[in-house]
Amino acid sequence: MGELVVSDKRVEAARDGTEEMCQYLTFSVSDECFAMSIGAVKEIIETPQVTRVPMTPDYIRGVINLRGSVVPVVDLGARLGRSPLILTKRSCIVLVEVRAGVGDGHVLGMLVDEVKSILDIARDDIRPPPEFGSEIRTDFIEAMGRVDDIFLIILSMDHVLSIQELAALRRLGEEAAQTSQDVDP
Amino acid sequence: MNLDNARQAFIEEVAELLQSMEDALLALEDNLQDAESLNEVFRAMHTIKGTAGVFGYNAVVEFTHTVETLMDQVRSGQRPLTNPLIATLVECRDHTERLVEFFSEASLEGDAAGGGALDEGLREAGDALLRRLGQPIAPTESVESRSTDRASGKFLPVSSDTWMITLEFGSDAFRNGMDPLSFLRYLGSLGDLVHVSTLLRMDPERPEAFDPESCYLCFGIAFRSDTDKATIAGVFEFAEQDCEIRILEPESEQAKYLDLLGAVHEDQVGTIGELLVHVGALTRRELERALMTQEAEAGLQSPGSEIRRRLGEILVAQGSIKPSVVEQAAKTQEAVRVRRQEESHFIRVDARRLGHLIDLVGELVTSSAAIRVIVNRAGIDDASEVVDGVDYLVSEIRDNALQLRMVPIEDCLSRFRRVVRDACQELGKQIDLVITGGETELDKTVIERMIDPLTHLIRNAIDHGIETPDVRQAAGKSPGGTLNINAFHDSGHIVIEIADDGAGLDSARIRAKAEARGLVKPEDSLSEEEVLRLIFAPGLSTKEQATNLSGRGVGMDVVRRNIEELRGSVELESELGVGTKITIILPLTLAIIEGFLVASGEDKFIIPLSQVVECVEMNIESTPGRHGNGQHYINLRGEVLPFIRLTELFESRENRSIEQRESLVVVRFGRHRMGLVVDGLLGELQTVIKPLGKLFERLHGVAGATILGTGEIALILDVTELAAVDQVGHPSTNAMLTTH
Amino acid sequence: MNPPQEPLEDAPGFVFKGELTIYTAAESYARLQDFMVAHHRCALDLSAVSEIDCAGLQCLLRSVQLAEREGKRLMLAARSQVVDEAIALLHLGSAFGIDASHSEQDAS
Repeated sequence: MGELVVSDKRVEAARDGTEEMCQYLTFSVSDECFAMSIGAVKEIIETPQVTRVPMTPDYIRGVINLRGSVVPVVDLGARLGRSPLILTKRSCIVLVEVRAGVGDGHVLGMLVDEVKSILDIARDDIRPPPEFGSEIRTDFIEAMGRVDDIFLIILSMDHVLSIQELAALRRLGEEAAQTSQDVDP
Repeated sequence: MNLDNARQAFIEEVAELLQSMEDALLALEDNLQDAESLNEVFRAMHTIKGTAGVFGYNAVVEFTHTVETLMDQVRSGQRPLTNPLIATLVECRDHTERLVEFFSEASLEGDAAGGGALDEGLREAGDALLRRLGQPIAPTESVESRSTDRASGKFLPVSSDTWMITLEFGSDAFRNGMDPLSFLRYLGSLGDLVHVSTLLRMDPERPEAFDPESCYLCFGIAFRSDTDKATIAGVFEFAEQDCEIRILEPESEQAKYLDLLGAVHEDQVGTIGELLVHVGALTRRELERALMTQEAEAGLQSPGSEIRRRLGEILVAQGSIKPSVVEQAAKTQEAVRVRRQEESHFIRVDARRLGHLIDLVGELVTSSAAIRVIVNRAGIDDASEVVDGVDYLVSEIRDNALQLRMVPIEDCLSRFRRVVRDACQELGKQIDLVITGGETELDKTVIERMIDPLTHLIRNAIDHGIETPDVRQAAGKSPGGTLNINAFHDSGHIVIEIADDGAGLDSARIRAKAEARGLVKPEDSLSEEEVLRLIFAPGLSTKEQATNLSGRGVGMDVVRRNIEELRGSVELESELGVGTKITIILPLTLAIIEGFLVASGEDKFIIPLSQVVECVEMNIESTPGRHGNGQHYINLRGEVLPFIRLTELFESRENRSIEQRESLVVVRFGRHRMGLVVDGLLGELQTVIKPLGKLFERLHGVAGATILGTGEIALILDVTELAAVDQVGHPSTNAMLTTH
Repeated sequence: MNPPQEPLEDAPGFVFKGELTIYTAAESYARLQDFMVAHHRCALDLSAVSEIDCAGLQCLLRSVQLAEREGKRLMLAARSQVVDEAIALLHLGSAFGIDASHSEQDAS
C-alpha cells in the first residue's frame, strides 16, 4: 500500500533536498492499522507456541522459546484496550528491544494480527497526536502519519511496552481497575 | 615490570597482608597465647615496611617499623599482650591501610615519587596511635638519620644482615661510558654502603701495563637494605655488558628465602632455577648465565655422557647463591613433586569462563532432553539405550560443572568477625560470634549476592537484638551476648541460621507500628508469626533510633527481596527477652536444578524436586474439606494438610471434566508442608533455569522458566510464594500479604 | 678537611685542575708519572678539581700504589669537595691515607 505516494515523496525529496523520510512498520490489530518506527524492531516471527503465565493480566500473552531464550509476549489487542487477539495463520510476533533503564535492554514480543508493510513517511506528513477523540490511550500514540490522505496511528513503543508499567500491573485485582482507567478516555 | 605495575602489586599485597593481620589480631583476642597469630602480625608489618621502603613511602616505613618493633617486644615477652593493646593494634592496622591508600592516591595524581608530604591529619593520627602503643615516635627524618648512624660506624664488620655485592668491571667500561661511581651512588640511595673495598685488578700476565683509559676496578660492597635482590640487580642493569655482577643475600635474607621456599605455592614450582628466581634468591640474568654455562659444559662433553653439572652447583660456583638456599630449593622442589602426586592441585579460573561453561552445560541438558523426545517419538529402541547413556553423562557433567562454582561459605562469614567486633566496641556491647558449618559449600554467585543481606541481618542482631551488658544483667542474663551463625545443607538447599540471645522482637510494638503505617487493619487477626513477619514489609522499621550501623536506609524488606531474588526464603522466630532466630533457606545454585514436571490443565509446571516429599493420588475417601475462609485441607494419614489446586489458582481457561484423576504432590518449604493438586505427574527432569526477566519480577509463585525437550516452555513454581499467593485471594488472611 | 700539614712542608706540590675524568685520564696520569720519576715525595693538590670519575680515581689509586711499591710517598694533600665525596663513597680514604688510621700510622 501507498507505494505510489512513497515514490512521489521520494521525487519531491530529491527535488528540494529538504525532505526527510522515516521508515515505519505497519500492522493490523483487531482490523485497525497501526504503525511503529522500524528502529526498535529486531525481528518478525510467525507465532510459535505461546506458554501462558498464570496470574498475569490479559495483555501478557505468555512466553515463547526464542532459540533457547524465554521471551515474554504482549498481546497488543489487549494492551490497546480491546479483546485479546485470536490466533490466525497470519498472526505474527514482532520482537522489539525495549529499555527499562540505561543499558538495561530487554527483548519483548508483540503479538499482532498481521504485519502489512514497511513505509517511508516524510517528516512533513507526521503530525502530533490528537489531544482527545482517540479510543486508545493518548500516551500510546507517538504521532499520526499521513499516508494516502489517511492518518495512521504511530505507536509509542516506550509507552506501549513500558517494562515498568507492564510489570507493575501484574496483580489481578489491580489489573481490572487499571484496565477500566485505560479504556476511559 | 614497570613501576605502576609494581605499585599495584604492592597495594594488593598490602591488602592481603592487612587482611591476614586483622584475622590474626582477632584470633589473638580470643587467645592471647596464639604464637602463630602473633608472628603473623609481626610478619605483616615487617613485609609492608620492606616493600613500602622500596617505593619510598617513608611514612609507611616509619609507622610500620614502630609497630613491628613493638610486636617484636611482645614476641620476646618484653611486653605483655593485652586486649587493649590488641585493640590499638587493630587501629594501627587501619592506619596503615589509610597511609597506603594515601600514597597510592598521591602516586595516581602524578606524584611519581609517591613520597609526597603526608597529610597533617594522618600524621597526627599515626603519632597518636604510636603514643598509645608507648613507642617513641620516629622523627620525620628517622630513615635518613638511621642510615647516617650506620654509615658513621665505619668499622662495622660485614655482618649477617648485609648483602655482599661484587662488581668486576671489564676493561672497556670507561670507554663504553660507564662510570662505576654513578652505580654506587644509586645503590647508596637504596640503603647503606656499609663497606666498600675498591681494588685494581691488574693483568696477571703484564702487571705493569696500565692504560689510564682502561678500567681495572673491582668492588666488594657490603650493603644493608630492606630491598630485594631483583631491585639491587636492577641498579646494575645497564652495567651488565661491562661488568661481572654477583649479589649474595644476607643471612637474614637467606632465611627469608628459606622460609619462602618452604611456603612456595605448588603451582609456582617449576625448575629449580625458576623456583629460586621466584623467591627472589636469584635474578633472571643470573639464571640465564648459569644455564648458558650448563649448556656450554654439556656441549664439551662427549655425546651420551650422563654427567652434567647440576644447575645448583653452577649457581654456587658462579657466586650467585649460597649452597643452603639451593639445598632448600631442591627440597621444596622434591616435596612439591611428592605432594602433587598425593593431592590434586588448584587452578584459578576466571569466573566468567566458568559461568559460560555452566550456560553451555545448561544448553546441553536441554538439547539432550530434545534428543530423548525425538527418539521416543520415532520409537527407535536401539537409540534409546544410547540416549540413556548420554543422559547419564550429561547429568554427571552438569553436577561436576556446578560443583566447580561451589565454595565454602566460611570465606563470606569470616568477614563478620570484624563487623561484630567493631560494632561491640562502638556500642559498648559484649558479643561472642560463633560460626558453625563454615565448610558448607554454596554457589559463589549466590554467596556474593548474600553478603549484603547477611551483613544487614547481623548488624541488626548486634544493634537491636543483643542488649548492652547492664541491660542484660538487669534481665538476669549473662553480660555477654552470643550471636550464632550456622550453615548446613538440607535437601538441595543451604540453610543459614542467624540466632542471637538478645531482646527478641516485640510483636505488640511491631503490630502497633504496622497499624500506624496502614499495613494492617486493627481488626485483622494475625498469628504471632505473621506479626513478626511484618518486619519484612516495606516501610516498617521497628527501631526507634537509627544508629550508624544499621540505620542506613536498607530495610528488612530489601533483605527479604534480595533473598527471594535468589529463589530463597527467610523465616523468623523470636521470643521477647530470649532472642531471635532468622533462618535463610537458599537453593544451592542458580543455574540447574532437579525438577519434577507436572501437568495442570494444558499447562506444564516444574516443582523443584528437592521440595517434593511424596506424590499421592487424590481419592474421594480423603474427603477434602474447605475451611471457612476458602482454603482447602485434606486429611493425609491423619495429618491435616492444606493444599492448592493449581487449576483453580491459575484459573485455567479450559474446562476439565470432574472425573479427571488428580494427584496430590506434597511439598515442603521451610518447616511447612503443603499439597499441590495437579492433573498429571510427568516425571523428574533436569531443569535449566531461565530467568523470566524484569517483566515478571513482581510475579510471585513462579521462580523462572525452563525449556523442555519438546521446545515447550514450562514454568518453575516457587512453592513458598504459592502458599502466600493462595492466601492473598482470601480477604480474611490479607495480612499474609506482608510475607511477600 | 684538614690535610696533614707536617709531611707537606718539604714535599713538592703537584696540582691538578678542572676535570679529572676519563677524558683527561691518559694525559693526567702521564704528567703525574713524569713528576714522580723525578721526586720521592709529592703533595698532590686536588683542591681545584671540579669533576672526578672512576677513571680519575683509578689513576690516583694506581699512582699511589706505584709510589708505595717504589718506597715513595704520594699524598692527596688538598682536595675539593667532589673529590672527597667520591673517595668517601668508595671508602677509599684509607687507601689514600687520608683518614684517622693514616694519621696514627703516620705518627708511628
